[in-house]
Amino acid sequence: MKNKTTLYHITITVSLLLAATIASGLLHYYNVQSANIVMFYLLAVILTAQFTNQRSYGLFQSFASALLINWLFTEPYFTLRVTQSDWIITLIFLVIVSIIMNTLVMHLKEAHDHSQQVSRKFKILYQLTDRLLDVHTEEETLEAGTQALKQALTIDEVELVKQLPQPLPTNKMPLSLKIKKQVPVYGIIPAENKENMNVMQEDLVESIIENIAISLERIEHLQQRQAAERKIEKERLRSNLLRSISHDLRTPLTSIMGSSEWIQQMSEKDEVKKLAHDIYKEATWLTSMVENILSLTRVQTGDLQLHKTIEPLEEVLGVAIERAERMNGHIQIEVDAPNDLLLVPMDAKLMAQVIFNLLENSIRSATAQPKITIQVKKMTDHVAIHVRDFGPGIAEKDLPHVFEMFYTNRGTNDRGRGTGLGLAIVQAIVHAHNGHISVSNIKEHSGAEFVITLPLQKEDESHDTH
Amino acid sequence: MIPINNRLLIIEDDPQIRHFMEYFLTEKGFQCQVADTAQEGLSIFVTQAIDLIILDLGLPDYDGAEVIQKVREWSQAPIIVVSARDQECEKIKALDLGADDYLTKPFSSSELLARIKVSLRHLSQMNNERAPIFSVGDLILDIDRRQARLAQEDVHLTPLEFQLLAYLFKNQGKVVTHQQLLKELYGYEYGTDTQALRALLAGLRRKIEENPAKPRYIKTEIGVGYRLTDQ
Repeated sequence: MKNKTTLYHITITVSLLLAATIASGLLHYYNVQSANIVMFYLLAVILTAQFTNQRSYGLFQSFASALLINWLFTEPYFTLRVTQSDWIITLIFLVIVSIIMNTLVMHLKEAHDHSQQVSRKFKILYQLTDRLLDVHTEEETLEAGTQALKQALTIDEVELVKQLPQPLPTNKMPLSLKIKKQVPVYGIIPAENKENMNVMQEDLVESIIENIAISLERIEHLQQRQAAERKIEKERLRSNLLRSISHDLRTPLTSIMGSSEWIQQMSEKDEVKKLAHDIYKEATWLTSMVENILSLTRVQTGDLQLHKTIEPLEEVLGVAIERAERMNGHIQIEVDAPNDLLLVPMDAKLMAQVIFNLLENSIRSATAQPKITIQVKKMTDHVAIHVRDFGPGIAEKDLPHVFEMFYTNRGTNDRGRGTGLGLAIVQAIVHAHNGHISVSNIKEHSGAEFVITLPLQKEDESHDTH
Repeated sequence: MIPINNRLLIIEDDPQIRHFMEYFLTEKGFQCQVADTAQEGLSIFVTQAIDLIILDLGLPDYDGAEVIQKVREWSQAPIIVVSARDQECEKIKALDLGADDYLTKPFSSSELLARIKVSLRHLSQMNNERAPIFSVGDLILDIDRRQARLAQEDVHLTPLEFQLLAYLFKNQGKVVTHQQLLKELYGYEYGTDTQALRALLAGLRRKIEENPAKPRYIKTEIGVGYRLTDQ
């Protein structure tokens, strides 16, 4: 390709020189004024400059013309000697003028080429930005960019990618790696095309890739925003659903519990009292089931943020203990906590449910008068809560399963049946707090021990300190 | 003759709950008016003498919060909010708007009765001269002497702790929100930063409670506030 152009340019140069010589020969033959011969050669130089791409052709022709004129058309003919001093001056001027002309034409041509390239560059960029206004996906953007690159480099084997293939094929080269952008995008072209790129093309390629990168960034932001909006909408729907379920379940429970309680108080017949009491108990059980399911849904269905605030642990314990005592009558719960105020980041309501469920679990398993101890220990970066009971403990085979949902093998008695959810929720809530829970049988006496550990620092705060 | 404060208005859209409350409270000696919409409830309230309102927050026509605002424009009649919503912020909103107490469904009839009695007692105390000496269990608070006694022993309270306990006593049996306490103690809206209050309360508990994790007097209402026990 390169040799071909060189050959073409040499042909032009030689042909024009030949044409000027023939024309001059004719003039000379018809005895037309010899000075005009110079004009033919000058014209040939100008045309050569116009049609070739390097100065050397024109320069060669300037000197060749002077020599040819000297050899062919000045006396003595066919020698390089000159008798008339006029000719010497004319020839020197010919060389000077033709060199100047050659240079001027070349400059003109370059300026013209340059302006054409610039206008082409702007046209390509304009078309690209115009297209980018309408794209909505990554694929469309990359496609538009590839089109623009093909136009810019006038080659077909070019592509835009978001990630460079590793390893890159040996005959391919990446384009424009120096642009700093948040969204990575690279062009890949055959190696030889990369070497042939001129400054203008490099500029253009850079502009194109930068435009694509900006467009990709815009699309990414758009998609992120849409995703965030969808997430918010989803959360809203879910919390509405939860709310309406909780409303729909609690409303009838309220009247069942209230009415049965009232019948129990008002009736004089023992049978009716008994039945009303059973209804009340069942409704209470159902209520705790509903509470547990709602908590579980809140904790389990993914990314719902817990309403973690800094809460005094003693308040949460107090609420859980009071609820357990209210619902179970006489139980003995001992609390051993450090005198310092322990502030723990948590969702207080859910954590109260954790403690309450553990207490309920212990109360249900107790054979005689339930006795439970709660011990709180403060460690450097976490707090440990030990809940111990004096019941029969947990069978070894059940130990690994107690936190599984609907696992109710543990001996239940007439204190009431479990929901099979209580401990599963305990674990889910503790894990949602980045805490840990374990269970074991106590060695010193019969009974089971649950240990909950909760981090004392909010995660976001600990991030800040890094 | 001093009228006995026993005229109740129940605004509740669920008919079963309305019936149960009406029967139960009538049996306990109250005169009950019932309404199933906010509109109906408000028109009963303005045309008849009502001592206390039991208000369901989830009414079909108006939001319960709007009803509270309308009532509070010209009446101090106690409002007990009944709600199946466990969103704490809604309870707090209702309380801060002027509701006296709340019950979360499902509640027991004895709880309902206790709340009504507390609110009516506060209503009658508002009209009479308030006793300068409060007491519950072994705890005695003498406002005039600025003295607290627990089981005959003097308890030394800081001025802020005394103020806190006095405010809880003035609202004995009723729930008091964090915001209300902050406003009472620090005199202005203290934002949502309740840390100082928690610490103050923890200090007070350590002076009057045997075990702060099993409080006898000051009960915690998680996410809402505190309640000084009535018995």
